[in-house]
Amino acid sequence: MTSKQNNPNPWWGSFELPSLQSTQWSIGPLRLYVFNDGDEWRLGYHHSDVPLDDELILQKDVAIFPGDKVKLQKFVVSSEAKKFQLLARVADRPVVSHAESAFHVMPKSSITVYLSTPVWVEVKIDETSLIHIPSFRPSDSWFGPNTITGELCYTSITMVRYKKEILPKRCNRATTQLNIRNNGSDPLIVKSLKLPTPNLSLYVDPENQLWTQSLSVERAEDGTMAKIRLDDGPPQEEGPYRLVSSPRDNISRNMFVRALDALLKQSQEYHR
Amino acid sequence: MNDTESFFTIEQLATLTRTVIILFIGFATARLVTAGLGRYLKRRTSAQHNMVIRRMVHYSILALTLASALTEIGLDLSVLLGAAGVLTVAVGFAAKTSASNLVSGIFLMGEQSFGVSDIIGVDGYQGEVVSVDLLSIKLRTFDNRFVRVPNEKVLSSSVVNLTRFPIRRADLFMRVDYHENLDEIRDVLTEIARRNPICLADPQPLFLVKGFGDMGVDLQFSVWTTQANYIPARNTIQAEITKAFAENNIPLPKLHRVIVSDQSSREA
Repeated sequence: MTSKQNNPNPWWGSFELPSLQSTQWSIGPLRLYVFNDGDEWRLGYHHSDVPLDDELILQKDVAIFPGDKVKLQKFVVSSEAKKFQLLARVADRPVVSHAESAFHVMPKSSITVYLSTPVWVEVKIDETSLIHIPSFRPSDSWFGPNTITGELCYTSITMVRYKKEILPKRCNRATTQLNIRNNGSDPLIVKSLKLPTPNLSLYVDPENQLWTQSLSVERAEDGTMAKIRLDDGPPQEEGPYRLVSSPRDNISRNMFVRALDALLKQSQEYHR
Repeated sequence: MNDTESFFTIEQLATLTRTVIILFIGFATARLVTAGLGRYLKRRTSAQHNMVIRRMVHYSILALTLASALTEIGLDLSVLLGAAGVLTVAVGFAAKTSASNLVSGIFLMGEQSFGVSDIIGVDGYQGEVVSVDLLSIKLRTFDNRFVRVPNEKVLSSSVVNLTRFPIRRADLFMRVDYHENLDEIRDVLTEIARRNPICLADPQPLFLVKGFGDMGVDLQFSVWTTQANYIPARNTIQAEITKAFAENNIPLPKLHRVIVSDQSSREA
């Protein structure tokens, strides 16, 4: 049995899978197979070659796990569990998004941008986490002033967007609203942004689209430091949101200060 | 029997017992303190500092234990220390190399160019640092050999630390025919790096025309990756380049050898 939905129900939640039955989820580019073999659960997954694949398909009673591409793992469970949980989680590292071309934020002005990041899928049985995989594996990236100091991140395949209306709806990606305010005396040029994804909570809107907490970055008057504030949730215009998962790394929601170049970059050049 | 009794008086037996107890307690304390210190320092310092501090504490406790034991059996330590002074001069001449290694070891530990578990190249060897001791460093090479390099040699030669920085560049070299379109080749290579998740998107890959060789244009394509993914990145990228070149009809030049048989010299 296959079901494909245009306005999909959430793919996360608790699902029943009786003994000797299997199911397959297509969550964007991720193909996830779950088989309950009684005293053992088998989980397999692979990714399609289309990174922006946005299909959400639930297929029950899959006869066998297809092909060599599937990474298969077996878990022996103590109880006769018949339920498993799928959880949507934020990425486990910060994600760097690039602007199509560098944008300038003039002194004493602000801009709101939207960033899209892939979510991770966690499978749990009896509250025990079995696997934890990205719905799409983004490329690694380095974010820092040079190749010695910096942070290992992921790079987003989607560009920074400036209008909420044109955001594509994808079941495996979460959108973040980011407000940048320039209190400095000179224009702020932004080519790429590092989103502290592990510090953000994940929410779902009434249309079952995923959002993270919004955040604001305020460039200090001295031009080198930035104040960051995590909002209480996503932007409120779209209706009530429900919390899907908590941040991986909890930090204070109050303002914290970081060097500006740890969050924003004006070019992608490194000395070779 | 009488001789034995006179030799081991009760008082001497008690002294001997006390000495054994002191030694036992000293050795046990050294082990316990070192193990506890190791656990305490594990998350607070580097593996190398952890090891050095543990060894210093361990040997200090053993030295104190030994001194207490010797005092207990009635040996005058001042006489021993006096003799040690004379002995030091004699040993100093004999152990000039060891002393040099010792001083080099102290400098090495202060300099911190590498530590335990770093991958380094020194004196023609490349491998993982197993320990940094006062006289030498010990390496485990990639083919699992144990190499001891004297500290003096390490201090006086160039050391390459391959794991000092979190990311690393993998340089790949190739040669293409003169008639190939280099822009197309650059696009093919860049796309390979873009699709490989363990190649860093930033710093961007480097495409470099090295020069015009005898058999074609020499190219360098460099991608950045994390230390952990260095070997997988090298292997996957090279395999993908071969595949992509075949798909895009970009042949890699082959070496042609023309053998000329000199008939005239044979006839002569």
